[in-house]
Formats: sequence, structure tokens, C-alpha cells
Amino acid sequence: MANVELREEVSTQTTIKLDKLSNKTPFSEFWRKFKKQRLALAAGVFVILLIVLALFGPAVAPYSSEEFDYEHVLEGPSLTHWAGTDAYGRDIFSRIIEGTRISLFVGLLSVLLGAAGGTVLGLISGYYGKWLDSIIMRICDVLFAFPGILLAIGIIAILGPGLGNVVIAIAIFSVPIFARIVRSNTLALKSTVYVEATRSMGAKDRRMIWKHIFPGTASSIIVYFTMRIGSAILTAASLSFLGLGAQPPTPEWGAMLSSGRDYLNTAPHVTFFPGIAIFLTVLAFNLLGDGLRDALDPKIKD
Amino acid sequence: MAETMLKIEDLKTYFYGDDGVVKAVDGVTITINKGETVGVVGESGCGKSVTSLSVMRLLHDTPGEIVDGSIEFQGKNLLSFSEKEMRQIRGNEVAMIFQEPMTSLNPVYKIGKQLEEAIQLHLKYDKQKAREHAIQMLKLVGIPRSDEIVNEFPYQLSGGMRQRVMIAMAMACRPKLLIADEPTTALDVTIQAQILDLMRTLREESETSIMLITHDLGVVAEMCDRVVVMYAGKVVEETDVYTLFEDPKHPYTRGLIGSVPKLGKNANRLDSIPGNVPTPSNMPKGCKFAPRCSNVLKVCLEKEPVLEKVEANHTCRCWLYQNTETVGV
Amino acid sequence: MLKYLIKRLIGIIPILFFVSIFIFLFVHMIPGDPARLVAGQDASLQDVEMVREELGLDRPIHVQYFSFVTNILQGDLGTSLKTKRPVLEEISQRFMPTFWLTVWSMAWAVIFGLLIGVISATKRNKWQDYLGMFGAVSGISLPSFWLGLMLIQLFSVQLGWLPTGGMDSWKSYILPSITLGAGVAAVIARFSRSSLMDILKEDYIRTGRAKGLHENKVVWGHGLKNAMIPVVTMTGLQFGFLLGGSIVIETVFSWPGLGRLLIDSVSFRDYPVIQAEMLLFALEFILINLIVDLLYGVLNPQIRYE
Repeated sequence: MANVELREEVSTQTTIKLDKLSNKTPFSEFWRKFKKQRLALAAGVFVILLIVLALFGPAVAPYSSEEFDYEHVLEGPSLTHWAGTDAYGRDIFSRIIEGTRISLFVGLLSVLLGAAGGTVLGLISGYYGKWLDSIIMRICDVLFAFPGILLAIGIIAILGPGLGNVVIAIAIFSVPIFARIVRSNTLALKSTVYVEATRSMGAKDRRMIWKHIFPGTASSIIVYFTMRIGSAILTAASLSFLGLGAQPPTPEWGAMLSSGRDYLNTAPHVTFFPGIAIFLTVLAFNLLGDGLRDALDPKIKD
Repeated sequence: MAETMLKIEDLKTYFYGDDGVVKAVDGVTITINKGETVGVVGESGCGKSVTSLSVMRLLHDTPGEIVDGSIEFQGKNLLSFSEKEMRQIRGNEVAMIFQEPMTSLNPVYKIGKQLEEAIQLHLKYDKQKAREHAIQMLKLVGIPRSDEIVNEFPYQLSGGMRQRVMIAMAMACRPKLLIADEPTTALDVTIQAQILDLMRTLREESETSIMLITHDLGVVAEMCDRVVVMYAGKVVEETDVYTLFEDPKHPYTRGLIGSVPKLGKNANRLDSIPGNVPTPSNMPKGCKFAPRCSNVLKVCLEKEPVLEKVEANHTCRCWLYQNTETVGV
Repeated sequence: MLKYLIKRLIGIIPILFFVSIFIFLFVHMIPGDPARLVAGQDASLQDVEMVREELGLDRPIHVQYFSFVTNILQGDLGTSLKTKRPVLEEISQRFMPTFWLTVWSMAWAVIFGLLIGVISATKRNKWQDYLGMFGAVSGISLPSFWLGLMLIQLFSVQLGWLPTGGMDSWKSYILPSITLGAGVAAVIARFSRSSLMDILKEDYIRTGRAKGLHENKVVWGHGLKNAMIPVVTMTGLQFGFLLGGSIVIETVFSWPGLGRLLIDSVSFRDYPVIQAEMLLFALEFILINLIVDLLYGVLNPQIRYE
């Protein structure tokens, strides 16, 4: 008799322990995994720093981006000009700081637009299926048949050069990427018991989509969003470099780099520093995206 | 006294994970004589597969590490072997069959090539001779059209056929010791019987020692000479197969035997062991089996018993049979 | 295999159809009157109308589409607004330089990408892995035009070993192909690492080790042959990235290829050339995907023999 009692006591202890384990919120679970990845954490801090620079850049920059100084043209890095000066004697370091705002804005906005469009299309495509799904997916196939930057160039050929059109172009070619991911997530979620049950209780389609399906796709959207920002910034800089995006004298990194090409032999620092700025920014977003993926993607969970 | 083939002594294989050390194998001792078949029995997670992988030194894709003990094969300590020396043992003198025939063959290589690899490596045959030997081995394990099968891919074969191929592969270099890790678990009952038949035939012809890892006592009764019962990384009972079924000592062993349905007997009442194997983070302080044991004593929760001889040729790790001096609590 | 091939070929037809519509509509999306554009800004109204008739722009849109497709099938891609020469001629001159540039870039990318990927996968969580993967994420983040300019600065300006641009000898290929291949090498390295890491967990890898095979044979033979199936698919998709990248790289290295022609045409608003280039790039991309599908079939015995 005593034996049985003892056994029960032990088993209740076990249950209590299990309860404590499962009591974690999704966020604390995410944070526990994310903070282990020191590189991604550092990248996150760097991204925050970039955002601060984007907001308060001109106030922090040692010089104005439009301050001409013909006495000090194409000077290499020094204590007064940390990244040297360009062909007009402008301080490159200050121009890079001001360019942060442009690059972040273009990257964020274009991906935001693309993600919004793609998410809506993906939800519709996955949820309603049938002919809507095949049409949307065929359109995505067609957009995928063009390399991203080519599509952007084509769109700019129609709309004309300029930063605004670059945003639109990048947004358009981001749409199919998000549409596909969200669609496949939606298909998986649609068949889960939970959603089936809500549906049989008579929930409206729109409510179903926003209350039950969209939250389930959120983690992959966040991961792809972060990763796409890096490549959007890269594409925008490439287009500006080709003369199709921001035009001089805008302190956009790609445009700055392009104007430095003529002085590659004599003053390589004019091209070097804007390139480093692009590289570090894109690297930070990519590392952050990798970290988020490892922490959020259930496929990698053990 | 028969010749000793394998002597595992006080083997400790620990896993180092994020949540600390997991003692997957914690002081296991098993001896296998020449021509003998020893069953290693236990629920999943008891450390029986890790023991077998430790013998092969194949802990590559696990975070596991052998921290203590010795593994002697024909008198030589395998743990002191270099990786190169180990490679000459694997697939040659010690061969292994795995649980999953469906995934244990490489899908992009032809059956013949997968057999010939080991044959060419260990027996130093040329391509022609290796091919002949491969076909011979496939015939031996009862595969029809074996001269055609060598040119086929694994996906073209059924699970039972694939396991036959695995056995042919393991026996190809005439190993002295065969480690079979749940060789029939993934197969249909009729196929299971065929594979066991095959293994028995091969054993009689080759005098190979077998370490048979299983959770299926039916397989043990059919195949084994001696049985080692493992629980939570430790040996809890060891004896010959007849004694085990006739006079099991450890409550865990009794539970295992009780949970096998027997034809003809009162099949309505099916004893099974309540609860689950304790998780590593939740190991009981005393006897690891105490929380699930129906004969639990006070001492069981406080102190862990040792493996002791209860009769000649029968050892057991349980307070119910410990000498009174050692109890002393 | 034949059934598989036919299925793939049939699958292409709808994509080709939609792509052709997309490119056909492309010119119609340009703001303003296309006839005016072709005739020139200072042409008379009468001339504009004549051009309109000549181009068939006055006909119903489905008739226009039909003649657009028939023209393409007959090899008539229109006339360049800038040089007044047939677009086909313009493009065919530029095709081979771009083709060889992408082939060389892909060759580098596959060799180095696989090497880094396999080393990282086998030395998981060791310094080689960390170095390889940090290198790979850096490769993805590098602006290719900047990398190109820096390589020019180092190897052409400073050291004088290699030409700064143009396409004169084999030496001219080195810098542009390395620049273009770097990003793809990084993607291949990351992908082959994760793919091989998944494969190395498979049971048949353990079987290979249990046979006594050397670890190199297990990884490069049993492991890589299986890992190649997804890697090849992904590499094919990277060809699109490479084609896009060539547009930028050709500008950096003054490469006489399709990419530079495209940029020139965009600034000149030479729509027939832009249209033809987009068609060509899309066709190339679809063709490469088809080849990838076939390779997938060749690598996967289950498809090869059924």
C-alpha cells in the first residue's frame, strides 16, 4: 500500500516539472535561441545603429554633404576627413552617413511594399485555391523567368530613372517571392485541425485568414523580410551605380561609388568607402536574417 | 571456457548537449563468446544502440563520446585503435546491420557497387572477383535473380529484400562478430520470420558471434543464447535465455515479459509497465526504475543498487535481491 | 526518362505563352505613343501615322500579338531605334561574350562553392566552418560592382597584371568572371553545406562508415553524390542571378556583351532592343531550368529509369 502512495507522489512531481517547462511564451523561446547567436546579435545592434544614423544622420555628420571645398579635392583619409574627400572636396564620411537614410529607406520601403502585395496574393492564392491560385501562380512563374535586376531595369525603362521608380521596381520583383512562401504556408495551415475546426464553426473567410492563417505565416515573412532588405539595398545601389536610380549629387552610396570610378587610378578611396558602407549594411541584414531564421524556423528545431 | 570474442567492460558513453551531460551508457559490461548470440534488450533510449555504435566507434553524427571503460575484441582494446586501424575492423571482422533497411542503402548507387565496396576494400579482390562474390552473397541470403539485382537501385527492392542485401553486405567479408541493431523491427511479421531464419542459418554455417539488439522478446527467445537487459544506460539483469523467461528477477524484466501477449494464456489481462523511461534531465536519485516499479522499497528512492550475482550465471541490479549487509540503510 | 522529359517540355509551353504576352505588353506600357517614339520627336503627324500603319499599331491588339509572335518565330525582332539595324543582328554580336562570361563565372562558382560547402559541412562548428560560412555570407553581401572596381584597382592599376576591361585575350576573362562568380559561389557554398549536412545524417552514410570506408570516400562519394541533387537544382536557379549580375559587371569591365547593350538601350530608350533582350534573357533562363531538370533526372536513378 505504501509503495503505491510513493509512486504517485513521484509521478505528480514529474508532471509539475513538465508544466514549468511548457510555460514559456513563444517570444521568450525565440529570445532564448536568438541570443545564443552572437554574430546575429551583433548584426542586430549594428542595424539599430544604422537606423539611429538614418534618423539623426545630418546632426551627427561632421560636415554637410553639400559643403564644397575646392582647396581639398580628392584627398585621402586623414584626421579631418576620416574617409577623405571627393572630386568637389566634399567630406565622404559625412556623405556616407547621410546616405544611410536613403539606402535604408529604399530597402525598407520596397520590401515592405513587395511583402504586403506578396502576402495578400499568397493568402488569397493558398486559401481560395482553384483558378485564382493558378492565375496568381502563373504570374509569379512569369516574373520568376526574369532575373530580378533585369525586371527592375525593364520597369525603369518604362517609368524612367529615379529613386522612386527603383523602389517600385524592387517592390514588384519582391512580390512573387513572398507570394510563394505565404501560399505554401497557407496551404499547410489550412489543413491543420485547428483551422478546420474554426471553419466548421462558421467563421467568415476574412476572419479566418487574418485571425488564424496570417499569424501562422508571420515568422517566415519576418525572416524573408529581413533577408530581402539586404538584397534590396544591394539592387538599389546597383541600379544607382548604372545611372538608373539616384542621380548625383544625391549622397546615395551606389551613385557615389559610380562617380568615383573616374578617379580609380588616383583616388581609390572615393569608391572604396561607399562600397564598404553598402557591404557592411547588407552583411548586417543578412546575418540578422540568418539568425532569425535559425531561431524562428521550426524546420531547424531539433 | 569458450573463447571470448568481445568484452565490453564498464563502458561509459556520454552525450554533451546544451542541457548538460547525458549518460547514455553508464558503466555497461557485456561479454560475448565465440559463436554465441547475446541479446541486448530494453526500451528505446536505454542506451543499447549507443553501446553498439560505441563498439564500432561510429559516434560520428552524435554528440556522444566514450569517456571510460574498455572494449576488447579478440583481446585487443578497440578504444586504443587509430581511426585507420578501426577502418580495417569495421565491415571486415566486425560488421553491422541496422534497423532501417529502407534508408540504410545509398539510393544513388547500384546494389552491386554497395556490396563490392567492402569486398574490394577488405578482401582485396579485383573488380571481376568482387562482383562474383557479391552475386554469391546475394544468392546466399536468398535473393532471386541476384545477377540482375546487382545492377538495380535500392528503390527497386522491397524492405525485406533490402534487409537481405544489408545482411549480405555485412556477411560478405565473413565477420567474426555481427552486430544487429533491431534488424527486423521495421519489417512485416512474415518477413521478420524469414530474416530471423536466414540469420540463424548463416550463424550455423559461419560460427559468427552475434550481438542482437532488440526490444522484442520474441526475437530474443528465438535467437539468443544469453540476454542482457538494459535500463537507463545500465545493465539491470543478465542470464541465459531459459532462465530469463522462466525465472526473471528484476521487476523491469518481469514487466517486459508480462507485456508480451501470450497465445492460449489469459490474454485479457495484459501487464504493461506504467510510465516512461525517465528523461536525462529528470533522472531519479536512487534506482532509475523506481518510479515505475511495482515493488518499490524505501531504499530504492534513495540509493542505487549494484549489479550482483543472485544465482550462478544470473546477475541482477535490484534491492529486492541485494545482500542485507549492502542494504544497510 | 523520356516520359519525364516530355512532361517537362509540355510544362514550359504555358510559361512561354505568358512570357510572350508580358513582353508584348511591355512596349504598350510605355507612357506616350509608341508610333511617335519610333518616328522620332520632330516627325510630322503624317509620318507618325505612316509608322503606325507600318508597325500595325492601328490593328486590334490580339492581331498585333499574333503578328508579334509570328515575327519572333521568323527571327524578326524589329529594328533598333538607335542604329537602325535589325535587332537580331545587334544582339547576336553581343551574345557570345556574355555567354562565355557566364560560363566561366559559373565554373569558378561551382568549384569554389562546392569546395567551401563540403569542407564546412564536414568540419561542422570548427574554425574551417566558421571561416567558410562567414566568407559565404560576406560574398552574398558584397556589391559586385564594388568588388570589380577593387579588383581592377589592385590587379590592373597597382600590379598591372591584368587588363582593366575589354575582351582582348584570355586574361580579360579573369577579373570579370571572378567578380561575377563570387556571389554565386557564396550561395552554392551555403546551400551545399546545409544540403550535405542533412545527407550526412542519413542512415546510408552510417552504413558506409560501418563498411570501413575512408571518411573521404563516405563524404565525397556517398554523401556528395546525394547532396548534388538539390545543389544542381539550386545552381541552375543561380544562373538567372548570374545573367542579371552580368548586366552590372559588363558595365564595370566595358565588356561588349548583352548587359552593356541593355544599359545603353535603356538610356537611349531603344525599346525594340530592350524588348528583345528581355525575351532573350527569359528564354535563356527557361532553357537553363530545363537543362537543370534533365540533370536532376540524370542524377536521380528513380527518374532516370522510369
